[in-house]
Amino acid sequence: MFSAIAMMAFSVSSFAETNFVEKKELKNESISEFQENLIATSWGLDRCTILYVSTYNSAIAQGFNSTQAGRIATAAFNECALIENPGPGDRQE
Amino acid sequence: MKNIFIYLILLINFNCLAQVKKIIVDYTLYFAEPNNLTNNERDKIMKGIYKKNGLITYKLYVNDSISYFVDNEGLNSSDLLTSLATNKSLYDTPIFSDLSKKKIYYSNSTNFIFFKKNQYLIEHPVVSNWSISSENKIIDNKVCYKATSIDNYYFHTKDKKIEFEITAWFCPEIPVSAGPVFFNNLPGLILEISYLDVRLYATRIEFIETEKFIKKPEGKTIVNYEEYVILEANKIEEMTKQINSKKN
Repeated sequence: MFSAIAMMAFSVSSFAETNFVEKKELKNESISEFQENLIATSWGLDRCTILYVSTYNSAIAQGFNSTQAGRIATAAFNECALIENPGPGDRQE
Repeated sequence: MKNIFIYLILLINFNCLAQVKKIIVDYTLYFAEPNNLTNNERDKIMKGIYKKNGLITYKLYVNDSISYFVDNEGLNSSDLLTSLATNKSLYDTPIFSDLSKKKIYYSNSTNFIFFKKNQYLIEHPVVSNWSISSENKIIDNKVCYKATSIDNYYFHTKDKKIEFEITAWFCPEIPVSAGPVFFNNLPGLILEISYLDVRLYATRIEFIETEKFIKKPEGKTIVNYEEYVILEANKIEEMTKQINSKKN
């Protein structure tokens, strides 16, 4: 799981593509709403949250500080949320 | 002798009080790169972070005794490595300093998903044990003096407190007690600072007539830095236990 984040951290090209960045910006609003709903529910431990916690702990174990671990884990969470909560243009019919 | 020197600096400071004290300062971040990185997962990411050396910039807005330190979109970058590099200076979210009250505040980061945005307003300790020396150098045609501070710290994790020294070069000709990140409280603007494995250099100073960029951070609950570190650590421990109990 942490390896996947390391790979993602280096996949500069995937973040540099304009279309991908535009789609991500469009999805940011839905992601923040998704996060709000997630935190608001009393037992919102879905797959993405589990991934966040796991990645956070893994980053700490690897020697990152807590702030860095939060950033790495958030990147994993957002990627997961994109998959779990795709925009209307991404749904497979 | 040292006291006479400090009084001289303060005298220069007072003589400059009538000057404009609305300033925008650009800082650039540099890191010392170790030569013993391996191919483990962490070091692969660190190698990527070190490629951002000299590319991360911040802005410090100063309005008399108020200052606001903010990244130039580094933390909002979609590139994780840029975001991590921006954080190497210990900066996390925009930092508001009230230099007259010796208070430093910032809001909790949304990168810890278990706290809501602006749930906490975190108060950070001010450096109050500067030792000013007579050593000086010219920076940007201004005479700057060296100041050092010991016994500073940050929490790598809740259980790992890292202590560090700071070396700063401040310029009494710019008579504001401001500086980058959490470091200020000297009788002049800090133009260069080094601590841990980083250095911040002021690369541009602009004197302005009006100031519109300073924003006071928000937070529903005020906590100090140590309290916030414990809150985050306890929350992660709690979530980890919940997940592990679900698995069993």
